[in-house]
Amino acid sequence: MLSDAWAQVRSYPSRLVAVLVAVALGVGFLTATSVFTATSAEGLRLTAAAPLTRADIYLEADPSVAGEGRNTSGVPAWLAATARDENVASVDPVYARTIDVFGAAQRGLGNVLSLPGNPAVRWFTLSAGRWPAGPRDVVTDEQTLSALGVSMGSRLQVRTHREERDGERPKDLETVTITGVADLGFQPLTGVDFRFYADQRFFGDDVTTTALATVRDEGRLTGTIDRLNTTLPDGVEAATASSAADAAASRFVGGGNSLMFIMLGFALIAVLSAGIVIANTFTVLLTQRRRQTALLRLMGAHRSQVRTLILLESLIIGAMGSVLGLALGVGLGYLGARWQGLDGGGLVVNPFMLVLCLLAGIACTVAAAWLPARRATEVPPAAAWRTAAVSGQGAPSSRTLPRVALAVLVLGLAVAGVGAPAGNLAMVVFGGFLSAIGLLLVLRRLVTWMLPTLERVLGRMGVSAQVAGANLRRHPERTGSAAVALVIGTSLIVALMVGARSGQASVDADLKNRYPVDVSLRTSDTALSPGTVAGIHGLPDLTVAAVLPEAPARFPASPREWISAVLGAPADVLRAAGAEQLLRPRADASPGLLVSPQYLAAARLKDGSSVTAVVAGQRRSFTVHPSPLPSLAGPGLAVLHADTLAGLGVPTTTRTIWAVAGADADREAWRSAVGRVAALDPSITVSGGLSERGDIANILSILVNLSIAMLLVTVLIAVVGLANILRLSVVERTVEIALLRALGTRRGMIRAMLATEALGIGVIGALLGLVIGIPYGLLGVAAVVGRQATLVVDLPWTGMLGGILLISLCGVLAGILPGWQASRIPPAEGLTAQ
Amino acid sequence: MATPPRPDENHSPTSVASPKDLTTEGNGRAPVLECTGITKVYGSGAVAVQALAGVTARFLPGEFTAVMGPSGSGKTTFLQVLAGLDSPTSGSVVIRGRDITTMSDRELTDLRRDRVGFVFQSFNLIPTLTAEQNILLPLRLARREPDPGRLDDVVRMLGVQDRLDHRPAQLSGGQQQRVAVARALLTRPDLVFADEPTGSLDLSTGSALLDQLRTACRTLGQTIVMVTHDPHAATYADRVLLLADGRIRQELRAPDRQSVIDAMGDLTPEVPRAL
Ligand SMILES: Nc1ncnc2c1ncn2[C@@H]1O[C@H](COP(=O)(O)OP(=O)(O)OP(=O)(O)O)[C@@H](O)[C@H]1O
Ligand SMILES: [Mg+2]
Repeated sequence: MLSDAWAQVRSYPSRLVAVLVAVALGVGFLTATSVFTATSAEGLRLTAAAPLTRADIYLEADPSVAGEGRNTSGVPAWLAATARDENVASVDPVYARTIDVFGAAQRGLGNVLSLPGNPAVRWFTLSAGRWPAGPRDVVTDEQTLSALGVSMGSRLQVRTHREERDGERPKDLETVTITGVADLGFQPLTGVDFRFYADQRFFGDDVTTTALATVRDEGRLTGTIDRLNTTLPDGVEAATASSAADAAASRFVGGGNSLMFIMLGFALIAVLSAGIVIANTFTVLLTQRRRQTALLRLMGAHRSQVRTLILLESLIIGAMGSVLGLALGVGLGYLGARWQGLDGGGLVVNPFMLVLCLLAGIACTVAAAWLPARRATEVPPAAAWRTAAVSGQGAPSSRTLPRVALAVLVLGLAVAGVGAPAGNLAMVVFGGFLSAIGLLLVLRRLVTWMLPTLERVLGRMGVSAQVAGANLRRHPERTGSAAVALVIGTSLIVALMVGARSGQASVDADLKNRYPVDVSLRTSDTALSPGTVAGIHGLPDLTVAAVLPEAPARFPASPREWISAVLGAPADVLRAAGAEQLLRPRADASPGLLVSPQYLAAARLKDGSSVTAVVAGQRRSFTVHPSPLPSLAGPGLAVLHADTLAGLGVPTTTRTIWAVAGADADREAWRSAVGRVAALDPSITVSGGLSERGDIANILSILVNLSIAMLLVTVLIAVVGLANILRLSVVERTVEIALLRALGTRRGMIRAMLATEALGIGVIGALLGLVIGIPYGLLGVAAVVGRQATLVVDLPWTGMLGGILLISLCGVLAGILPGWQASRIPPAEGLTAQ
Repeated sequence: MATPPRPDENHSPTSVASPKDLTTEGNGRAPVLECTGITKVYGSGAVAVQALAGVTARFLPGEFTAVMGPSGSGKTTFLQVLAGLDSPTSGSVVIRGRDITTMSDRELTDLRRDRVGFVFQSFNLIPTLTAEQNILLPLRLARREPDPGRLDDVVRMLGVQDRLDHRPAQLSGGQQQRVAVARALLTRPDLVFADEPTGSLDLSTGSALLDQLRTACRTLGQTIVMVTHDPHAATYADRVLLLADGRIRQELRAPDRQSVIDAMGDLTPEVPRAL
């Protein structure tokens, strides 16, 4: 049996290439996910555990005892006690600080880690320069240098970071010198932009809770740890550094799971569409081999034997494709980890997962061949006898399946429709999933149903297009399946694009509501520098930017909230920020004043109440309105109309500048531009909607782009399937095409015919993908945004149009090879064939 | 056309004996295959076609029967019903004492595999298998080991011993036909059904093939039922059944070329009426 199946595979290998490629791509994706996850987990492990790799003992002290019993040189009791142990060679406390860094090109958040005094315990080497020698020396890595736009030997201004708006006075600026470049060999995961390493003296009298120790005799390590745990004060734990490294690593590895699940999801989608392509290929192949199957049955092959033969064939090709995919996936997975800088641990392969991927590929192929194989066993043996071509497909397709599918689709949509406005994510996910299954089941019918229209359209476009249209309709179920594979990939890509765009738009709109001003820079000096003002005015797509005059003020005190200064906002800024209350003052009322809702509540005031305050020594009455504007620039501020402030005739300072971005402004460009402006002046605090938008947008767009790239694998599989279906149809239509040629059809026309068929399927796939993808994308966003914000529908038309064109073009590409083959059929073939 | 005639209506014009003499004819040997009153109607209603209108016949072991008749007279249908590939609308087909019209697909398949061989006008072989693999196919399907001496004998008798490693596409039409015959004979089937086996062969190749079929019949005791349009081919048979309009019109024993042509001529006037 196996040899017969092998004979089948070997006889027409090219007809099974599509199956091979589809399996290889699907399995490759799965394997790549597994290898990437395992390799990067090991890389992360090494990274997370790096500082512990050179030490023997890891000590951790409870904060309550960490600073206790300092001796004359400031060393706490627990560290001193550890150092006194006869087997301990060295003890190094570990300090860390978060700092604001002001480089030449950027400002940002960094952290500083202390280097062990004992050089043997340091976990990296320097690629250039020297280790820190004084309290103000630091070393850093190459990436930090280039991001900050500085070089070795540069001086940097840093400031110990404090949380904004906590009312604390900013820490003093310090200047540090970069004395060396660390050769880390991996990318540390610190959650901050910049990384520095400094001598312990940098940290002054900070209290440390952890320390690393080395021993003289490693053979007595456990004994030493036991002894330390009994002699050290309560609240101090000693453990082996290697177990601490494992613990640190496992904390990090858990964080990488979500990416793995996303990748796994897309890999499974790729496998699913591979399954559709495989099933379609087998259906066509077995239709062509109908007579041969009948002959086998006639010779006495049982149905089960026919089925086994076909399934064995699929097993062989599935195994071959899976092995190919395995090799592909291992390579890609490793390269992916390497690209992310997470290959520090070398290639890590989980053999169990590899076997699982292999089995998944084989199982997918065999399962996909199952239904076509079952249909093949129904071929009557007598079909081998009659010379006349046996008429088309056997049983008419059932009517119950589409009805059930339709019911599932409607039910799923209903569940999702109820869940979305209520913000019930679980309901939307479940309903969306259910409806997707229903849709998948009726999709082929949907395509079949569109074919007559397509044929009519093509019929008006010339002879070859007309023949192409008729050909697509001749085997509607094939055309349907080929298009379905394409629709899956396309609709998911469209859904992601729509989801990402509308999601971002919804988030931006929500931010715009809560933060009417995009950027606010406020200096702790007496006035903004002209450079800063010019920099903000130079932002691209700026709606309005203005320096706000400011005067000190005294307001009635309230328990937690206070106002110490008022800002005067010009009319155009107020208009751009939507602060209508100050723009239409009532003639009979006192001038308007915007205060934070928190102050309003704390001072027991209402919207429109009157309040009396002393502004630069002048007592005045104001009508207060709550607004998010005042807290934008910083704590303790209120906002009035600039004209009102000018009318007071009091001296003002200019410490704050506000900018509002145009609707189409590139927010990423704004972020980096503002970062550059702010880097020049460490006295500036940056706030506003732009900084709140944060990295989420960035991460989201990376994730979406990555997902689209992954879905392209699905599209690729579909295109391979399409090309193969057309190729097989050329084999089938050899006589017919030869006849067309004999009747005087030119080669170009034949090629155009095949290209049109491919284009037809491509266009159907792309259009359906669009029609299906848009609502699903919006549904997804609606579920995520839920009740927290209003959904803003923003469709990425250019992107979608580009995608549609690209996929249609892929369709045409799929038609090239079959077209070339068809055009090479000699006209004589039509006359000699039986 | 739509109403099948009663089975006994067509007994008179043929020389087929009535059921009670069955055991005596054929020198007391029991028939391998016999059919009684089989009718076959394709389709229903206005498009119904009566392909067989009540056929009764018996085939003895080692007997070589030719079936002749005008195109569309029901020859292929007759053979298919006899081989259990198509079920008759009414009537029974008995092979070695068992009624095959009531058999399950599984039993029929085993029957075909172990007791029946087939040869057609064309497309006899699986294109992806070599000649030898094709010949051995029924045995391999039954998971039986081929008897090497037997394989040798059969391929030598049919003169395809040098072509065993070739695929069908690399063989001539006559060679393909002989490979198909080799396959049909290898399992020593009780019955061989051949539908125009020489239809696409030249005269001498066809004659050689028929010779080999007859030898198989004589030496191995196989029962052969062969449809042919060629009076010359019919002369190789022990008897000729002449079919028209789905009925057996005549049976010729020990036919020669002229008697076959005459008998065919007698049938021809009926064709226009049938159409
Ligand atoms: N599957 C079918 N469906 C409907 N009618 C059929 C079918 N098979 C055969 N027929 C009809 O039954 C009649 C007998 O056909 P059959 O093939 O048995 O004739 P035949 O004697 O073998 O003819 P030929 O010499 O041309 O091969 C014909 O009228 C044919 O059209
Ligand atoms: Mg026939």
